[in-house]
Amino acid sequence: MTITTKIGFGEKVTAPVVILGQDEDLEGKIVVATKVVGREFLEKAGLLGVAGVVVPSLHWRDYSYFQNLNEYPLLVLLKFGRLDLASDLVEKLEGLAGKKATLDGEKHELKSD
Amino acid sequence: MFSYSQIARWLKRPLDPITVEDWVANREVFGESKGDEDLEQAYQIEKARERGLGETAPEDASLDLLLNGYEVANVLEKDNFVIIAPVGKPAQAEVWIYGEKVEKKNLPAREVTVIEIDPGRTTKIKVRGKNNLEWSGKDFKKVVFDLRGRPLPL
Repeated sequence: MTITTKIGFGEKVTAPVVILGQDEDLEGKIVVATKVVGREFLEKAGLLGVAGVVVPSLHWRDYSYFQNLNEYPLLVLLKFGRLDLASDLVEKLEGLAGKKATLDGEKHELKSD
Repeated sequence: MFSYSQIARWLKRPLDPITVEDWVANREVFGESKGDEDLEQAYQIEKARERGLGETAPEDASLDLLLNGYEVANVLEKDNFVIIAPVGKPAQAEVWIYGEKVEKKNLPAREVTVIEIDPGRTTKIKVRGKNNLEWSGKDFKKVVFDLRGRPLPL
């Protein structure tokens, strides 16, 4: 399955996927948030050593801030702002839990086998 | 990307910086979409100004876009309205509208004043400011006085 978006940054990483809220161990994982997250989570993600982060939406100024920090690749699935995902996309993403995926921030892509 | 202050100066209503920044960023990534006309107008004005004001405005440019995104000097007649934008520093002016009766209006400096005219009426308009302009015409629904001075600062 491949999800392509228009907003993202960062290098390509391959790691297991964890859905935010379903597992507390985020280190070395691609963390997929199915609901809107705030800046605080993204700051914590850097400290926890995540492999990458996928979010539904993000304010532009936060995106710009973390893009400059460039601590991990980030993918924004919808657009800038505060928007939640539709339930069918949530379901699709939850299906990735525990599987290995490749997150490519530059190509704006999340790919799993 | 255009800053909040660049866009906000053209908006007809106040918006917070985060909303404006998100809208502009989405506009840059996804292109034009049906939505906020006010923001789209402000964006178009800044896009035109980015090119330096010197281009000829497109035929279908709105009044706001024409006044703020392109260089209009002295008198510009368009369809059913005319823009009077004296060259030089901002200055107040007086206008006399001659028709069945003479009306005199004071026009404040640094502002855009729009006067609606009865269409089909032969109307002579005299503007007295730092730059004396006289213009007469008819069948114009609107006369727009832009006394912010020309050229516009970028």
